[in-house]
Amino acid sequence: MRDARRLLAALGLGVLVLYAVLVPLVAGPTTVDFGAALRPPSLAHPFGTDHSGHDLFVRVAQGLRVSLVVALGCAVVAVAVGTAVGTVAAARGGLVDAVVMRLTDGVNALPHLLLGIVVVAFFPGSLVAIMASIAVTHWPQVARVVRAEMLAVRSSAYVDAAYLAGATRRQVAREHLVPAAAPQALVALVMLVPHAVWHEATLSFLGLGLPPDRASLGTLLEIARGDVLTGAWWTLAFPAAALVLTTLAVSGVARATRRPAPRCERALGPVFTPRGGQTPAHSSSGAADGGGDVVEVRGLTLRLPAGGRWVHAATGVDLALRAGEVTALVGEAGCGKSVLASALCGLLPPGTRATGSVLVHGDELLGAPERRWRPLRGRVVGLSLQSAAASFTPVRTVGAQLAETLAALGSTSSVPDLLGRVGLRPDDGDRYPHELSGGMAQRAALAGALAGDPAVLLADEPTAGLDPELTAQVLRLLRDVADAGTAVLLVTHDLQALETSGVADRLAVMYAGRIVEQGDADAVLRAPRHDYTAALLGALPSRGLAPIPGTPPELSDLDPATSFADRLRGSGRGARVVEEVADGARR
Amino acid sequence: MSAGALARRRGDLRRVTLRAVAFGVPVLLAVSALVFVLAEHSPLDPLAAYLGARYQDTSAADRAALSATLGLDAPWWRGWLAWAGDLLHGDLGWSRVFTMPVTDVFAQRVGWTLLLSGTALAIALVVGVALGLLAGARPGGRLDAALSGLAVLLQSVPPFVVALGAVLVFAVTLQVAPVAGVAEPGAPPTAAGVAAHLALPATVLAATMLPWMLLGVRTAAARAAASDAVRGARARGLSPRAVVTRHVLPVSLGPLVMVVGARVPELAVGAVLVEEVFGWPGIAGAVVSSARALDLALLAALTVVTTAAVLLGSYLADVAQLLLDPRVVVDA
Repeated sequence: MRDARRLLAALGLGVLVLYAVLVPLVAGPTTVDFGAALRPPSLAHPFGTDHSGHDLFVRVAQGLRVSLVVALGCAVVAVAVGTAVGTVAAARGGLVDAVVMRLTDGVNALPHLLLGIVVVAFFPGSLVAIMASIAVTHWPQVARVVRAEMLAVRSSAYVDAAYLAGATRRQVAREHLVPAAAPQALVALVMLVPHAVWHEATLSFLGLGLPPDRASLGTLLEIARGDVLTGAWWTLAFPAAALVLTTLAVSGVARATRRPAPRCERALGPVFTPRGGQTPAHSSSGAADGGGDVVEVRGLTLRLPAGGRWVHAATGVDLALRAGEVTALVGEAGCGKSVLASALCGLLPPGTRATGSVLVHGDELLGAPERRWRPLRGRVVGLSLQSAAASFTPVRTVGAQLAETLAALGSTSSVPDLLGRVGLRPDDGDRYPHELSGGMAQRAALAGALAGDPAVLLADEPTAGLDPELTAQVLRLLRDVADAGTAVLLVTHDLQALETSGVADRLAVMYAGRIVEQGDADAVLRAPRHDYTAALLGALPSRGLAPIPGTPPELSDLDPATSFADRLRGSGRGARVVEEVADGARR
Repeated sequence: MSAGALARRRGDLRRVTLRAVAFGVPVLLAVSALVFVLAEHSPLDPLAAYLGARYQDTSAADRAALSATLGLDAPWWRGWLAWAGDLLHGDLGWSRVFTMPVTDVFAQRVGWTLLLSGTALAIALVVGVALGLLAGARPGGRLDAALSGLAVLLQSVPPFVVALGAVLVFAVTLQVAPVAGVAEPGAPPTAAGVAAHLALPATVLAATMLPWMLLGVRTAAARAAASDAVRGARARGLSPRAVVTRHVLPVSLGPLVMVVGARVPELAVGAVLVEEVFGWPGIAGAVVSSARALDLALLAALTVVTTAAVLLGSYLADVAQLLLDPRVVVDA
């Protein structure tokens, strides 16, 4: 697709250049023939004729040739000046750099076309003046690009080495700085051509450019101004088309030479495949079944698209959240915990593939459309994001966003009440998100999630980056929320805090997208059955600080059979180590 | 919000203002000097321009005497200093083209330019923001592809081609709009008449600004839509409308304001071209007349005023940025 566009641009430019060069050569000079004035397009005159009877097919080719030559000349001069200025600034540095770049800013601040008009007004019909007026206003951008490129190189090791080897500033500039900036200067040259074509066309259109005997496309369009009023559309259409196509083709080629920009994922709705035999999504069997399970996850498998690969974020996950209980979900960073929390709030990235089942109050919600999730968010399921401060819009105060949340959820409580609930002062609401400390941001995010008194609170890493004292405060807050009857999911990698606080009722351990162990929190912490849980616990300062061997697996295109045992083997240590680690943890 | 932001930002605003003045005054001095330097090196005889047809009938001795009286032989900086001195007294000189003081030219024409440019800017902002938000809501989607494609296409059509095309289609072929001017020939301008004459040029000028506004808003909105702030807002149970108007839009405004501030030169160019094509009696159209006739006093004044407008645009964008985004800090 992208390559096809590049090819099309290059081909188009080739055809335009051939047209501009060959047609005037073959056709020779056009003649004035008032008998054939303003003829519409025909076989004899494919583009029609103008009011002097000139054949426009030939005139447009001539005009395009003039436009291209003038534009190329302007671009070359502008790039030469810009490169020279940028080189001086980068090579000399210090005061010279500061003064030169200030001057560059000054020239760049001038309105380009106006300056062009002023210059051309004093030197009417002069090709040199036109080229100078365009070059003089366009070099600053080149100078800036060239200087930036050179500064990057100047601070590199091999340039230091050249200086140490006794090279002069001039030699370094010639041998290292200029070659480094040359590709960028070339791109700038190509990018400037369409600018210059427009600029010249504009001046000529205003009657301030080239005389009619050296007509550019702009001159032809100026001539067309009168003819258009008589309805002679072709006098406007063909020169304009040549101008537009040239602009498109040259900028297409220029874009192809530039560094490729990161590509955007094409947005698709999430793709869901309900598990075979599952009842349709609309069954509403009430909260009775499941015995207090507000949320029930069965066999949940999530695959997230990432640049042509699939991230295995969750595989066959079974998990239940009960009213009045804190369920902790632990595991190393990047094991899929956060994605699981997002899935319970219906906020999976576009294009996610999901199978299995997510029941909230007994309703199947996996793959439910946005309109079914929307009334649940905030009211039934509250989610506080891991990036707490970033989960508020940066240009509005936290208080305003909490007030908006309360209003949207139809809550009767006030912002100061809500802030007080999470241990913040009323005037903290006047702060902007970036003005909150880590602990305040976490509590503000929890306030946002609690605003609608949801039956389920999903707290994603609410203690990340907090000191032990603040961590304890936040965990106590979660305990209070659970004790008031809410089902709380605490996603965390901080086992130490879990152990110290004893906040969790149940504990689930996740490794590479799978729940490897879950059960009563105290029991799991006391006597882990899975090696991974044991290894996690063994890494805690209170239990000997034994590092977990190896690194967590990448979840992209993960081998479904990957287990923690593979990691231990992969780390070059044998089964003995597994046992050692496990023993260490159990001690 | 605004009053609070003003109070918070008082120190920053002072600093930005000082910086703008420190940058702008030398630039304006240099630009006005440049006009006089160019005039001195011009191959055109300013006396010929001054005398017009009478130039032929004037003897060489009279020409020399007249040049001396008018100060045309003096080096450029004398003329410039005299001009700057008069400027301080509110005197911008005499416009030969319009045969009236330059200040009167401005007084008669600035209102028309503000009417046209202001209307066009308002149209472009409303349409650009609305379409940009729509396109940015689903980046890569069909609507986005269509709107962005149209914007890129429109961007590669020069303003004067858009203007001529609009005249051809709407004024000549369909005859639903007048060809030029602000009123029917010979008739005094009336409110309804001006509105009818304004519609086409204002739409054309708006169309020339629309592409980069739309694309700018689209990029900012797409980035905002993918941000944690929007995820957070959705998780808090806000409606899609509230997410767009209170979360995507506020963070997209900053980039929009910056791009509008940076594009004031293009707005000025568009105004020149549209006023020229539609025979609009504004100040931008006078640029072309003064350049063609080498009306030095008017040209110098217009150059300085346009440059000042451009500098003011980027200054106002900086100020708006400070008030819109609490995270922005003023460097140095």
